[in-house]
Amino acid sequence: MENANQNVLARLHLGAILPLLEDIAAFEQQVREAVKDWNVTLQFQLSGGDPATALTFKQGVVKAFPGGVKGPKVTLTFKDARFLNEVFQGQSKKSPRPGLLGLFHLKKLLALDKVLGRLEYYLRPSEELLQNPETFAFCVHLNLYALAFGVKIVGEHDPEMEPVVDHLPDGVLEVRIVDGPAAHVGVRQGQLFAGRGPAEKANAILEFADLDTAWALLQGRLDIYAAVGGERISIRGNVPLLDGINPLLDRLSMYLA
Amino acid sequence: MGKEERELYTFTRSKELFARAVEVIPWGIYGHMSPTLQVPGSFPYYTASAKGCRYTDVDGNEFIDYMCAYGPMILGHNYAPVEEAAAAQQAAANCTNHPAPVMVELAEYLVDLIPVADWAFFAKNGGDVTTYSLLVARAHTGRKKVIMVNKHYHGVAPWCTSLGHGGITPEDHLNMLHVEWNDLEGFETLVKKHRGEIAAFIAQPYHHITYGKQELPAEGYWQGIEKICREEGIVLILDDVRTGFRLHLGGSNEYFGFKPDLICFCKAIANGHPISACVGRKELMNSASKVLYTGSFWMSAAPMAAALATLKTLKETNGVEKIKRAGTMLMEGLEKLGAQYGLEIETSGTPGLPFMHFKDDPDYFLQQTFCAEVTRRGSFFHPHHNWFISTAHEDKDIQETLNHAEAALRAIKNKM
Repeated sequence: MENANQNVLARLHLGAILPLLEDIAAFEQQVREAVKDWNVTLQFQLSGGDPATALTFKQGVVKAFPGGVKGPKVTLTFKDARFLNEVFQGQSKKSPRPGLLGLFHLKKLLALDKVLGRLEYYLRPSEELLQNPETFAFCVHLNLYALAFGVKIVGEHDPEMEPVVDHLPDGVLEVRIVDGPAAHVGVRQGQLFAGRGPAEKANAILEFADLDTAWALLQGRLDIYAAVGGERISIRGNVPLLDGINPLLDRLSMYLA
Repeated sequence: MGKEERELYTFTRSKELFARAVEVIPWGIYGHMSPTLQVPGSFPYYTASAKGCRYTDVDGNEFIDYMCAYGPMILGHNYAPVEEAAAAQQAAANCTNHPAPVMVELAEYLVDLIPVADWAFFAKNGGDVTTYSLLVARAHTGRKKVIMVNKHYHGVAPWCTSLGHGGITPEDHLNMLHVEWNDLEGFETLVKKHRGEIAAFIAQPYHHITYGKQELPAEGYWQGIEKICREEGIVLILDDVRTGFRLHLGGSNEYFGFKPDLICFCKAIANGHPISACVGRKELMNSASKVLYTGSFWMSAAPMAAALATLKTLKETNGVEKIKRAGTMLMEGLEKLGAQYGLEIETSGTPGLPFMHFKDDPDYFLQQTFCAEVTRRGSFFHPHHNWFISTAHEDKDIQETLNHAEAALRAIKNKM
């Protein structure tokens, strides 16, 4: 992968993947147990401080702050994007450099690997995990959020997507699953935003008939046009907005493949 | 479920076929006919038969057709004189080692019919001739760049397909410049910025985009464009593929009062038979002869015979006027119904290619519901693409459609 793409991928890891620890901690008792005594803010960042994402841990609750916070207790700095990506993809045995204050939290940092490992566990789940209806639903849920956050990042930082974003109409696309979770991605004057849950006012709706269909799409295994025609996916409202965002979805899947 | 609800069309067989299709065909149905562009579940996917302004789908539902195969069926489906001309030519010779005499007859007929045409070139699809027109313009001027209007559709060649679609690269657009519709000043600025580099300006006669209100040219727009093109040596190309022969038999430029250098036709030229044409002024004929461009079936004779019969019929029966009358009745009727039911309908475009939308419905939610409701009652209304009227649409057909529209509006109001 080229350097420019490594940078986008690093932003995806920090801005779209890392914040999902919030959801994982809320879902999984084991994670809550592991971090219940932590009362700390950990900031993950590239050398220079951008991109950055801070995680606050308080009584087992995790909160993510994409973009980072001022004065975090512990800063984990990755020397470059490639290294950050290798760490997030479990391809490096080295660890990021903690700041001086981080040395006082070495025990937490040692346990952090395990906590971060849950991201991979749910985002690239084993067949066994997918067989369990509850964890399957959670995996879909998590990947849906990753998609929404990821689209925003790819749209903002991938130079090849610049002409696509330039032509996006304003509006909010809600992506939802019947009787399941929702996320949304919006465009306002060329600026993208994303969030968990339904949109306050959606201009376009992409709705999956069930978790299986959503999962197939999220895994890049679905012909979306065929699925729409077959009524496994319904699209309503401002279709040009969805059409405009679609290339960002394709591009995102290239990074996360 | 009420009685009326029970009588609405269903599409079981269409869906069964589609389920088979997705196993062996990308998209199931690809391109502009993809169900994705309509409201899946409320529209048919496959046709069984067609005649006049009506067709029947594979579930046995009959529709009054307001898409006319997305334009080609200008005289209605299976129009006998055209089919007979095509069949006679097919029986004599269609695809052989040489063109048939009908190719010369058709070129001569187009040159007589279309004021700016001094020559004609034939291919199969609209996109064949829009791309061809760019090649001719470049050969003529020795320049590379082409200006096009944002959102105008000229086919699916890489130069005119937006980035983000599979296989399209930024390099495919290197020589393309874009301007907004009706922005004469923007056009002038772009020309000044790239003086001496621009081979052509290509545009549709008016702004008939998918997912949007249709916009006619502002007063003086086309005349201003023509003047600048003449002064700067830019080839002016009219993409009349969608609109051709529904506004004026001499080309839509005659309707709007300007003279392009090249005009691209397809869709309605042969009432459903596969043929497209590019016609041009004599000044460009030598340049056209320098372009190598051909295809396996471009000389097929039967579609040429069909084109000749179609154009002659349109001329002899004053088809353009008939279409205008039917389209006007539909547009006025829909606006009246909207006002009656408190859901304001605005129509746009031209009577031969009308479109409508609801005034307070910027995201098309109501439009999608309405078009689905009308279609399930028997009149095919596309929710996002301009419609097409044929000479086969009689007053009684339009009235029947207005009845469908009224029932749909009533159903929507009841659900509100």
